[in-house]
Amino acid sequence: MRKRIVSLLLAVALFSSAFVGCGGGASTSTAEGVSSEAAGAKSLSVSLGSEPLTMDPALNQAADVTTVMNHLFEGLTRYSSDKKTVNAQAKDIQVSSDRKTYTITLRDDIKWSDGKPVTAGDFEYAWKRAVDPKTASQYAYIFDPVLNANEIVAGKKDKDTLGIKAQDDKTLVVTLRAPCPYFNELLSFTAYFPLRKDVVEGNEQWTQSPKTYISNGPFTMKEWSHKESITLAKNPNYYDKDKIKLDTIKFVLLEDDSARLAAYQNGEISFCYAIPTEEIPSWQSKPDFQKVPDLGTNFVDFNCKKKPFDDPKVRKALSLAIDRSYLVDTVTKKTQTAAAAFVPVGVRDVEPTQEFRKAGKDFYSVSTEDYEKNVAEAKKLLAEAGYPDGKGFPTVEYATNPASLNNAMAEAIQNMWKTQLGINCTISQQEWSVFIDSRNKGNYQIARDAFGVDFNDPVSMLDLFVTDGGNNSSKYSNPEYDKIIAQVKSTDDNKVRMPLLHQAEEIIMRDMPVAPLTYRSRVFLLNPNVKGYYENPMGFDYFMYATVEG
Amino acid sequence: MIKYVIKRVGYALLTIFLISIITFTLMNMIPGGPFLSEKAVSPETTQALKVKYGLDKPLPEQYITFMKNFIHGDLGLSIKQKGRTANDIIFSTFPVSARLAGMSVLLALVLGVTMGSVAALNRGKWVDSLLMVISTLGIAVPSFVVASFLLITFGVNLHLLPTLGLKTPLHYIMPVAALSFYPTAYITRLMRSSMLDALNQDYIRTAKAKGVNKFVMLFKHAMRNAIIPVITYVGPLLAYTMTGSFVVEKIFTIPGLGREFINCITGRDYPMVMSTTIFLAVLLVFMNVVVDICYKLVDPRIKLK
Repeated sequence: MRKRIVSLLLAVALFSSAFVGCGGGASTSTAEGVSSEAAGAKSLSVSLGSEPLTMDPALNQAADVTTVMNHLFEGLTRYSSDKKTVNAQAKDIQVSSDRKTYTITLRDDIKWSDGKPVTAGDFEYAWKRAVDPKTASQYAYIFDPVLNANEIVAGKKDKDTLGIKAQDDKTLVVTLRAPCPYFNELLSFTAYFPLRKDVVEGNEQWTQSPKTYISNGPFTMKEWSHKESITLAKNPNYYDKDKIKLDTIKFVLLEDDSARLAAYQNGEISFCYAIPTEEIPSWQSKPDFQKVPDLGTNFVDFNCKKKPFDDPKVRKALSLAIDRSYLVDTVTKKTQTAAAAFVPVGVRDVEPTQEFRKAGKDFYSVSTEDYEKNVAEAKKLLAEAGYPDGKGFPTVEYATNPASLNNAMAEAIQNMWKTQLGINCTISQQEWSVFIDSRNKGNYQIARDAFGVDFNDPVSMLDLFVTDGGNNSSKYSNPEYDKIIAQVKSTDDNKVRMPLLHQAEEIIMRDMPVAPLTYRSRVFLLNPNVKGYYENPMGFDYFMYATVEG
Repeated sequence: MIKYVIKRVGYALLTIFLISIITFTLMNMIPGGPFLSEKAVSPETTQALKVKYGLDKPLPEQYITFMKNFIHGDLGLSIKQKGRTANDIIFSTFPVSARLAGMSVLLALVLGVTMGSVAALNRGKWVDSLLMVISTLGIAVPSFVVASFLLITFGVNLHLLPTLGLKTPLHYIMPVAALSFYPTAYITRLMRSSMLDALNQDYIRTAKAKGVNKFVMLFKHAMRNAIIPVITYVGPLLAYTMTGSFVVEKIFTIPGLGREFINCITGRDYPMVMSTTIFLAVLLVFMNVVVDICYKLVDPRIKLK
C-alpha cells in the first residue's frame, strides 16, 4: 500500500520535473562571430514597451520600435540632436526648380553590416516593396507625396511606376506628385530605409534571426530573445563609427508599467520610457524625470452624423463645459497640457524654429478662473440649440476603451456635463478592438480619440477632418474645409501654407467636430549618468551617441 | 483497459473538434479584426492584408484550411507577430510556462496537502484557525496583488531578488510564489475538509481503537480517501496554470504562453486564437486522463470504464 502512495507522489514529481527539464527559456537567436561581453565593453540597457510585432522597417507602425530601427538602419536623412534633419546616407540632395524632382547622391563610404556597399538600387527596391499591395504595409500611406504611390497602394498601377529610379549605383532620382515641404523629414522614416533584395526576397523570416537581419545603421542586431530583450552591437562597417561610443545597447522588453519602474529602480535599465501615473508626483522633482511634448492631441469625437451632435452649438456647448485644467492637474497629474486648440504644442510653423501654437491663438481659455465664464457660454449655446438647462436633451453615451487614464477622463467629463449642463451621459467601456471598429464606422455618439503627427507639420493633424478621410471618426464634412486642405497640399511654400492651415484650424474650432482635451507629452526617466541622449520631435529616442559615466 | 483507452481518445478527439468549431465561430462573430489600428488603415490595404492571410475566403473554407494544416502539425502564421509561426510561438513559450506551472503546482500540492492534513488533525485548535486564516487570505487575494507586493517588497525595497525574466533559480522564487499562492490555499481547504470526512469514517475509528500509530493512520489509511478531490482539482489546475499565468508573466517579464493567450485574443490574431485554444483543450483533455489513471492508482476500488 505504502508503495503505491510513494509511487503516486513520485509520478507527480516526475511529471512536474519533466516540464522543468524541457526547453531552455524562450527562443533565442544569436549572430555568429559576435563575441560575448568583451572586457571593458560599454553597454547601455534601456526599456522598450511590449515585444515588437515586426522588425521589418516597411511594416512597422510602433513608435518605440521605430527607436530600435533608427539605431539599426539609416535613411537618406536622419535627425540630429538639434531636432533637424541632416544628410545621412545621402551626400547631397538637389531639388529641381518646380520642387518636384529630387536628385540624391549617396555617400561613397556607406556599407551594409555584412560589408557590401549600399546602392541606390537598395532604396528603389525598398520603396517599391513598401507600396506593393502584396507587402500590405499599413504604413504605405507615408509615401503619399511620391508620384503614383497612392495608385500603387490601391492596386491601380504597377509598383514599377513609383516615382523613384536608381540612375546608377550612387544616384537616385525621386519624382513627387506635388511639392512637399517635409519630404526631407520623410526620407528619415523607417519605411524609407533601404533594404537588400537578396536578403528580403523569398525569406518571410529574414527579420527573425540576427544572421539574416542585414542593416546599414550605426548598430546591428546581435540577439533577439522574444518577449525579453533585443541587443544591438556597434556596426564595424558604419561610416561614422568613430562617433559611436557604446559597444552594445540592450532594449529590455517591459510591458508592465510597475515592472518597468522596478527595473529602473534596481538599476537594470537606465531609461524607463513610461511610468505609472500615480508614481509621477514622487519622481517629478528628481533629475531623472523628463517631460517632453509628444506632438499629439487627446480629444473627444462627437458624431456629427447623429442627433443631437449634428448641431454645432451642442458640440460647442459640451466642449466648453469641460474643465481642462482639472483634467490635467487631477487626472493626468500634470503630465499633459490643457488644449485650447487642435494642433498640439511643438509643431512647427513657417520656419522650423517657430511654433504653430505660438503663431496661432487659443480658442477658449483653459484657466480655472475662466471656467465659470465658459460654462455660462455653454449654457447659452445649449439653450439656443433648444435644450435650456439640458431639458429635453437625450441621455448620451461616451464610448472608450478601458485603460486607467481613459476611464478617469471619461468619468470626470461625465460629471462635468451632469453638474454644469444637466446632461446625462453614460460611459460605455468597450474592448480595444471593438471600440476602434465602432469608432471607425461611426457607431457611437461620443468617443475617446487621440492623434499624433506622422511628421512635424500641422497638416498631419488637420488632414484628419477632410471629408471621408480614413481617420475622420467624427464624420465631419465641410467643402470649404476640404478646399483649404487641398490648397495646402498643392504647394510647399510654408509662407502660403501656414496661414491656410491656421484658417483650417479656426474652422474646426468653430464647428467643433471634436473637443480637444489635452496636448500629449511623454514622461520618462533617464539616469543622469547617461550623456548624449536626445529625442526628435516625433518622440523617437536616440541612444546611439550616448555615453555612460561612472 | 484497451477499450477504455480507445473510448477516451475518441471522446477527446470529439471534444477537441467541437471546441475548434465553437472557437472559430465565436472568434469570427466578435466585432473587430486583426487589421485595426488607432490610425485608420485604407480599405485597399485592409483588402491586401486579408488576401495575404487568406481571410478573404469564405469562413467554412478558412476553417477547413486551418484544420487541414492543423492535422499536418502546421498551426499557421501569426498575423500580429510578423514573420513568426504559431508553432514557433507556442513551442518556444510553452516550456517556460510549463516549468513555472509545474513548480508552482508541485509547491502548492506539497504545502496544501500538509497544511490541510495538519489543520484537520488539529481541528478547532489555534493551528487550525491560523491555517484557515492564511488559506482564506490566499483565496481572497488575487495573484496580481501578490505579484506586485512581492516585486515591490523583495525586488525594489529589500533588493533581495531579481525582478526580470527567469535566468537563474533565484529568478523563479517570486513568480512561483505568486502563482502557487491561490492553489495552495485552495488545496489546503480541500484537503482539510476531505481529511475531516475521512477521519470520521468507521474504519479510521476501528484503526484508532486498535491503537494504530497516528502517522500510519493518517498517511496510510485516511490520506488515500482524502486526496481524491485534490487529484481531481490538480489536473485541470496544472493545465490552467500553464496557460493562464498572464498577469504574473507580465509583471515579472516572463516569455510564457499565458501572455500569448490573452494578447492574441485582444489583437484578433485568428490563427493564434485557434492554436492556443486547441492547445489548451488538448492539455485539459490529457490532464483529465492522467487524473483518471491517478484515481485508479490511489483507490483500487475505482473501475476505469
